[in-house]
Amino acid sequence: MNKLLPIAFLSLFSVGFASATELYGEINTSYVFSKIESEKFNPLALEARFGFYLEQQVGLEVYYGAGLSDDSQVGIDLSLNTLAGVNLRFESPETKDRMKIFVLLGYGMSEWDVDRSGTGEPGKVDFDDFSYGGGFEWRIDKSKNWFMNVRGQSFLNRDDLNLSTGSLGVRYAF
Amino acid sequence: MHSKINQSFKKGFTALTFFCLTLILTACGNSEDAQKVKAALDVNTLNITSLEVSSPRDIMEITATEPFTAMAIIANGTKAPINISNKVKWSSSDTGNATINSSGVLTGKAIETLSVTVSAQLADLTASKEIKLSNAPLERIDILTNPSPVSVCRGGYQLTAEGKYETEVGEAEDIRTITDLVTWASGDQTLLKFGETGVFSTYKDGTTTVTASLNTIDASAPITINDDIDSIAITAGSDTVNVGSTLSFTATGTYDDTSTADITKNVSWISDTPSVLSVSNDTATKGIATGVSVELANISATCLSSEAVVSNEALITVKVLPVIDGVSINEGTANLEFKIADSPEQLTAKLTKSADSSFGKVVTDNDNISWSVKRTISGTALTVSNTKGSKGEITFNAVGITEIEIRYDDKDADEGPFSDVIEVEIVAN
Repeated sequence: MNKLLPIAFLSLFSVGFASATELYGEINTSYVFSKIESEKFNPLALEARFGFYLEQQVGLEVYYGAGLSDDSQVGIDLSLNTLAGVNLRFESPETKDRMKIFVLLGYGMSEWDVDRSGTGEPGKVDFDDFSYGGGFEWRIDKSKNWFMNVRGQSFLNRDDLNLSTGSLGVRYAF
Repeated sequence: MHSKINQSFKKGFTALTFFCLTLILTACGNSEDAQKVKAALDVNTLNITSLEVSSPRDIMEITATEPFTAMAIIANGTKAPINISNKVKWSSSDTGNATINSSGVLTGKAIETLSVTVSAQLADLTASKEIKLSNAPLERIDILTNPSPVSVCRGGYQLTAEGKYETEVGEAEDIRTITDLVTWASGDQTLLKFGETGVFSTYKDGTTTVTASLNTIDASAPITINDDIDSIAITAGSDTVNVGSTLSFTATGTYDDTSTADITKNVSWISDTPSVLSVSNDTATKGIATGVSVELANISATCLSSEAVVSNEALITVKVLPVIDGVSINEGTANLEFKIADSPEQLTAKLTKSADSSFGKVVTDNDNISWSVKRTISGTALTVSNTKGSKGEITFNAVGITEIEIRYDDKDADEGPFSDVIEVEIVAN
């Protein structure tokens, strides 16, 4: 069941993309908030996002991220190998101060590398779940194409595991 | 120009779409991976250095069940082991002939004698035990360690059953402890009842028979219950209880040979005013009184022996339930935080002696922190929780001064152990 959702999203993305005229790309640096039971891990990650507008304020985007650093707690070393998925992006109209807010709904997967006390176990593990988030975006200066944004997004919240990010990004609308 | 850029990006997007599709479809995010990660965390947070697997028998019947236990050895055995049977991943070396469930219960499905290895795994730690599944039939049951005669209104008497199984000529004797496999029965439930496997309690004096049976084979033994109770004394943790709250009573029996025993579960409990304070005689909650309405009530206990020994009476005041939630005490620089539960509203907790200000690592629910009551300086002691999720939570029901010790020991970071003591005084408002 879980795998039908990304297929549906990505099929929609592919079909929509073929006829899309308003495209955008984005780079984010992310502070990762991951939690295993009560232990918190905070590695860093870099994400790239590409999308297009289905409607004036509704976008569809795919993203791919990779870890920049790992974090250790109680002898457990955790690094984020991959963060990938698809989002629907709903935007508010831009204010006269060139600001807007956006909400993200989608589905994502993450692959972690977990090492217990140098044993290499349990190694690579991966999870997928619904994702959601939102943020603020500012059009940089009076440029038509460049935006800076701050976003928070949750990617995993089940089985006593949590993964979310707080990101600072730059977006370019073609 | 703009159109060319769009076309280039469209190609890139298409490639990226297929790339992401591949990534997501190859992902097998599941609870099994979550269990692997949590198991690794458990091993390190509990400081588990190895595992041990055990079962009551080395030989079992081919279609019987056998409970296995996995114990975590903590810090190379320097601390008490922990039962982690429900945390480990169990496996059988021969699932065609014996399967094992997630609780560690092995079920035989064999048709002939063979051996199976049962393994338990937690993260990268494993342990195993070999068990023989034997199709030898049971020949005889023997009841061992018969404690008869026993005292009236007393519990904890353990019977043991051994099974002798058929062997081929020249084979060593096959005798197994089967206390937990046989069905125990009492000849007279008013005199004697079985609780856990092979453990019985007495309620009245007299003579009866106990029976152990398995696979149509049984064995019996007579039990004589002496009327040798001399007196019963009852006590409670408090002489007051709130409406809707419970108060546990303890009954102590003194016997003719001057020995004493906790007989809370073996006596009959009586309230002289059940409409004010009821007291339970149900097996699981015997001796637990519940406040019903505001007034006074007397509680007593009696043994149904021929002598009908009755205890002293305990006068209990039933009061209105006070409720205080969300009160906290913050200890400034040391970042100490208490949570207060079930405290009567007429009482207040306050710190009377601060922790050393250099001791700044206390975080209420941290695994490296342990809380305990060190001593009672005066009055009635409070209790402090050391259970994950409620660490540092104090509970009190009377005035007094108590010393609480907080220890910090982070072995992974090689910090500690540090400890400090704070004093908490419970005062009347």
